[in-house]
Amino acid sequence: MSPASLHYNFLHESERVSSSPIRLRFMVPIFSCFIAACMVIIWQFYAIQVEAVKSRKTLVDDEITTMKGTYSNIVMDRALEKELQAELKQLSFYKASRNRVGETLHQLTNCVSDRVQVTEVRLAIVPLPKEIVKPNPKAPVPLGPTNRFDTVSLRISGRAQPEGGSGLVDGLLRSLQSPAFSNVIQSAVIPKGAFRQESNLRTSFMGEGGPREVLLFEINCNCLPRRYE
Amino acid sequence: MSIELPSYVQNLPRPLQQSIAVTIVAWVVACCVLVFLVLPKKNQFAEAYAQLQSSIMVRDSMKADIAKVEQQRNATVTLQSERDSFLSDHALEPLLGSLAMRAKSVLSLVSQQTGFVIDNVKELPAIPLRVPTPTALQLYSRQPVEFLGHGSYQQIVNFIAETEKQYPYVILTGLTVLAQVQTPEVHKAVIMFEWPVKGDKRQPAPTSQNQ
Repeated sequence: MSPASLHYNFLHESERVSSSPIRLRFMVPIFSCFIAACMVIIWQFYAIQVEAVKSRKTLVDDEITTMKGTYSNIVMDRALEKELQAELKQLSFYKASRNRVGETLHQLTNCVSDRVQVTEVRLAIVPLPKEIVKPNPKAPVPLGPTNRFDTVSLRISGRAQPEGGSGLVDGLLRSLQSPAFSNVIQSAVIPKGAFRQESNLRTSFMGEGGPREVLLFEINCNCLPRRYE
Repeated sequence: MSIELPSYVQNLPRPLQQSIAVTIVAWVVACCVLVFLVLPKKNQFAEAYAQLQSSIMVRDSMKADIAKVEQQRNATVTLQSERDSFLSDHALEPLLGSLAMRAKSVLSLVSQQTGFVIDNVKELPAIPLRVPTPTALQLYSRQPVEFLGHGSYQQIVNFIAETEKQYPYVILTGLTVLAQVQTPEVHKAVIMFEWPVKGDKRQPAPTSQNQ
């Protein structure tokens, strides 16, 4: 039986020392103070940066102020350019709507026989049917017409001698349907009932000795539309 | 005033107590500096930096625009001359307040050349021209003018063709040729020509400053 070994601890608690070379008792407060100091340094850094940015902004703003006079002229110029572009665009709609008909009307004389008399030539813009759609009260009121084209019609009325007259009128119709007129006329038809015989006219169109009975005709042509585009 | 510390703290050795106290005070100071000084300053910096960037962008864009001032001026002058030349050459300006009389004076030479006799001229209501988007302040219209006259079919057609040739933007919009029983060779003609004319001028939209 071995005697119990006695171990006396005479070390005071405050005298106890860690085996680590770094003493937490000193390092933790130092580290905490270091963090606090860092925070102050960061705050100072941001404060200096803010001042620097503000002074730089003042310089840039001064530069902007000095340029404003010249710039306002450019803005006005730019607005004028936009205005002119819009005006020219509107005028281009007018330019685009041009369909020349003079030369085509010239050719008409070559297609009309001596035994046919044209009594009326009527070229007109056909009004568009009014829109049935209910107008939207919230939609802005348009400043001008919104239609992109106008339909144009040409009506030729006349009379012909009874002998061979139908052939002559048919010849005139075919001429109007031919490519020679295609730059103006899209389609040409004689409406139902428009080709008829009539008598008892007060005066004969071929003079006093001419026939008393005549063939009346009417040719309706759809012309190329006027496009405002 | 004294603070009563818990017994387990009181039992700690004095240097350790001091160390804990310094640590706590340092962390409190650090947190206060972070919350009350650093973060607000950081936000202030971010805001100031954003404002600076925006100002720099404005300045650079202004500088770039100013550098192109000559180009801009040339573009505007070109467009202006294009519009003005079109209007002076092709648009109808009133003669002593009458568009019909101006139209007659313009086409009287053509009528003499072709033999078509103009008996009467009538100004019809102007038709607004289709408006593009974006819309200009100055609007334009189509001005129809009716020419009532007489001549042979050839003279009438020559008058139209010659007008179209000499004045390319005078557009024929209506024509009625009526044969006359008494004069088979001379027809009555109603010719409607159209010119571009200046229409209403709109007021510019109020800017946001005025609103």
